[in-house]
Amino acid sequence: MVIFFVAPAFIFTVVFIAYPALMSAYYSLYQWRGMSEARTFVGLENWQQLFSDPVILQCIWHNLALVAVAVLIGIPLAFAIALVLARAKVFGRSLYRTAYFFPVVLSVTVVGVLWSWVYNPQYGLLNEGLRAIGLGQLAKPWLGDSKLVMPAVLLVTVWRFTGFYIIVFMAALESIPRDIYDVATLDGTNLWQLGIHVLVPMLREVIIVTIAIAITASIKRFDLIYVMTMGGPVHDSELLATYMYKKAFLSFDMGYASTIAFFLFLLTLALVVIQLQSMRREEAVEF
Amino acid sequence: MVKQLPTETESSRRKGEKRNFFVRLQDLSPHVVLNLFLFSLLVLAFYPLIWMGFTSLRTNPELYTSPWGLPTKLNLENYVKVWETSPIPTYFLNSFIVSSISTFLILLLSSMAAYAFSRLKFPGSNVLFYAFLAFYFIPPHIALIPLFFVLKALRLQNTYFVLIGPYVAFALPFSTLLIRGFMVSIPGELIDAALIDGCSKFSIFHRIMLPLSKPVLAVVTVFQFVSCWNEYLFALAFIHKRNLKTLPVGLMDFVGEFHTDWVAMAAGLMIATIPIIIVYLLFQRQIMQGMTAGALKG
Repeated sequence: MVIFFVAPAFIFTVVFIAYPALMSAYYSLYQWRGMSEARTFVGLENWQQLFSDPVILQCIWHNLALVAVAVLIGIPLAFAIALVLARAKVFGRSLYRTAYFFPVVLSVTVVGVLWSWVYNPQYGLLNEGLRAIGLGQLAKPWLGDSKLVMPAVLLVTVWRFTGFYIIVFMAALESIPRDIYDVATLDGTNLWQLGIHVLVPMLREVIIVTIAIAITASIKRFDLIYVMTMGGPVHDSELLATYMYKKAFLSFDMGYASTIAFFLFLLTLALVVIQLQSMRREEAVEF
Repeated sequence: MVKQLPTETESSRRKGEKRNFFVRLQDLSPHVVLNLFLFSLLVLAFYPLIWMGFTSLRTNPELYTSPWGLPTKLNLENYVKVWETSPIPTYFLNSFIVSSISTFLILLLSSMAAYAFSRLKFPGSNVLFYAFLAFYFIPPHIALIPLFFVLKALRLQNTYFVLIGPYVAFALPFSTLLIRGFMVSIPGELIDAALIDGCSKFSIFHRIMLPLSKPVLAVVTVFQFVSCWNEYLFALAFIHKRNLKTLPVGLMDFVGEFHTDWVAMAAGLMIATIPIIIVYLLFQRQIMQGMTAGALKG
């Protein structure tokens, strides 16, 4: 009887998640073009290649930049906005909430194409806007410039994902008992002090989990960059996931691509474990 | 908030008024600044989309002379052109079919599993539950390449199931967790009473658990539908036949073909976005709950 209820879900997850994930580790030990059955066992050669591949290093830097921007800019900004929306005198609070979250539900293709229009060198909104206010010399081919492409893409990630963190923090702030706000108001504490000294420590758990989510999502990030730049120019906005995808489905180097996929998984795991460990330990020292 | 000053003579009353005004202004200014700040963020969050809407109503020469300009009339030519000459209607239908079937299967399988894990205690049920949850932490990327060959071996290529299979599988752990959390809170007396009345386990699931779990099922439905509708990685890797492509990937082809025709592209993107806007405005509470549950309950 129990089997009847549990088995279908298990069959799906084993066939489409567990088995492929294990096979990925296995493939990473082979050289394999994907088209034929001919696989050659190469041991750890793919892993050696990975650690000496300069593109991988570039990808890691770009992924870490995504993490840094999400954790150092996106999350604090979202917390501040959520706090203001939850506590300050704001007209049309729910309208703001609806609008801020909207970029999160948009299709990634729409987001990518929209922003590539903003950044378009000739007719783009950004360059046209700069020319209109007399700063035409600042007009740049934003996505075509090896130095500017990452900042440009990072801005889009902030635009797309900050709404998500705002909603998380707004929901978390709602769970805080009203008395705390009342006491703080009586004490004459302003919103800023209240946020830093009272609410951040109280919402510690939520913040830690949110940072973990931001790390995982940033290391896995694929679609937005793939749609906007395909990792280019050359590899100047390449991420681990876009590199893996290109290796697998454009150059059919399935063995190496599997190695990158597995590395991506291990990197996420390592970063999240380090983050949780260090943030939880701080907590232990505090009390 | 603003103290009334005692007034005696006309001049001191005026002075008081003046001070009142400044006190009020000072009092108000942080709020004004805050509201302005929030409003400018709102414009920033929303403007690209409004711009896309405007552009879809314009003509290319108009656009190239002033990208920031407004449409001069309600001109739906671009929409007609895109709907009639591009495969967007097909992509649209594919997205709808794949997302609907996936969401239905997710709902069915995860509520069944959630029922078993919350109410039918069996030896090792907790271990099994945590093993099942562990799949939640496996990123799709790591399964991507081998999945390609699994799907080939299962002869699912060139069917909708090439996407439905992975979509359902990757959504199950999280959906089950959410639904189980809700089902645990349903009072056991109800089930005991039903058992005494001779209800089978299946009819308890069907007649009691499912109807009572409606709020969480609504969250899972809307959230998973939107996730499937927007999924990109699997759709890009697994579907190569044009008439099976879903919107996110199909749109990229469309963008490639209409490369220089920005206004038509804008109309195409609008067609893809309008259903999402409607679903979002109707069910935003469920979408937000579904998306943030991981952070708030994890």
